[in-house]
Amino acid sequence: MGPLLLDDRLLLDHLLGSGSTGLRNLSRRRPVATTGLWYYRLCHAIRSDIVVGALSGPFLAAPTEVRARASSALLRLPDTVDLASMRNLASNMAELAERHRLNVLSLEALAAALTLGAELAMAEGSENPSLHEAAKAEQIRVHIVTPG
Amino acid sequence: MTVLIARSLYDDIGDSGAATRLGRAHAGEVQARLHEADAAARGVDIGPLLASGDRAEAVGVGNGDRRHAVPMGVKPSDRIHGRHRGVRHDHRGELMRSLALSIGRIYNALMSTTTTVRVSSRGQMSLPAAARHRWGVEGGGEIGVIDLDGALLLVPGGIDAAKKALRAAIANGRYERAVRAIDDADLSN
Repeated sequence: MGPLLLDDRLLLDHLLGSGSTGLRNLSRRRPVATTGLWYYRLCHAIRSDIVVGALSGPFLAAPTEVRARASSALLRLPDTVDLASMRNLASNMAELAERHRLNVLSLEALAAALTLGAELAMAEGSENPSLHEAAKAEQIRVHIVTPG
Repeated sequence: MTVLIARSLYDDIGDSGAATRLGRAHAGEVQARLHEADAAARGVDIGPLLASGDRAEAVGVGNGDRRHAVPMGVKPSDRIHGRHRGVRHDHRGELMRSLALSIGRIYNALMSTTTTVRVSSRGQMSLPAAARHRWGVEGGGEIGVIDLDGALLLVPGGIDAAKKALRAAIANGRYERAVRAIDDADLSN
């Protein structure tokens, strides 16, 4: 079975160990991967005031910058999660851009799925319709998974 | 002279309010007895905790109610009438003020938020007593260590507690809102 390519929301669940049953079943006994831009978007969003400002518990007394850095540290990508390299994706992305009207984030995900022979897993509620359509056209299996 | 002061009492008093008299007790002694005083504040009899020759001039104790904090040795009847060593007080608050020194400043010095600890050749170091007490790990427990490159962040409850806090922070659609707030078309869905 090929790897499972997680979008940023499902990657977040995976890293926090809070994935839904659906994600756990889907990722059982198979490699997990993500893309550089999904990981970047995760790191970007997690540093926003919306998330950092809601941190409590052991972070309650910590200043904003410490909270943000601590959150980033908790979400450092482990070696068990493969990260598709732009070195291998760039030319495929350029080719795919001729067939699909997608932004760079979606082109990278599509190219990564094709290059790794992966299935796509996207979080329910934050689906990417354009990517979904393009993936179907490229014969890539897509899973819509309820986040944790 | 040894003085026992319940931590809960310190917290309430702060820098400017009425305080329990520290007398000439030296810092280490007071710090060592903080936990005993906390037990006292929960209604435990602290009399036996005093070492021979010690004389507690003022103790923050009283059946778990800090408003009852009174000097050691004051008779129950004197507590009622607010009389202490011949000084008549109109009410309990006045009694407390009459004993006041700058406890807050001394407390802050004892419970400093910065401290230096030594690391042994095996990489071991001690968690400061105040943090052990505050986090309830005096008998041992888990502390999470988050490497921030230039510093280490220690969090009570281990990394699981830190991840739990992060999970709570992204709940209720906050993560999705944070993604939507990123102003970059190339990062949108």
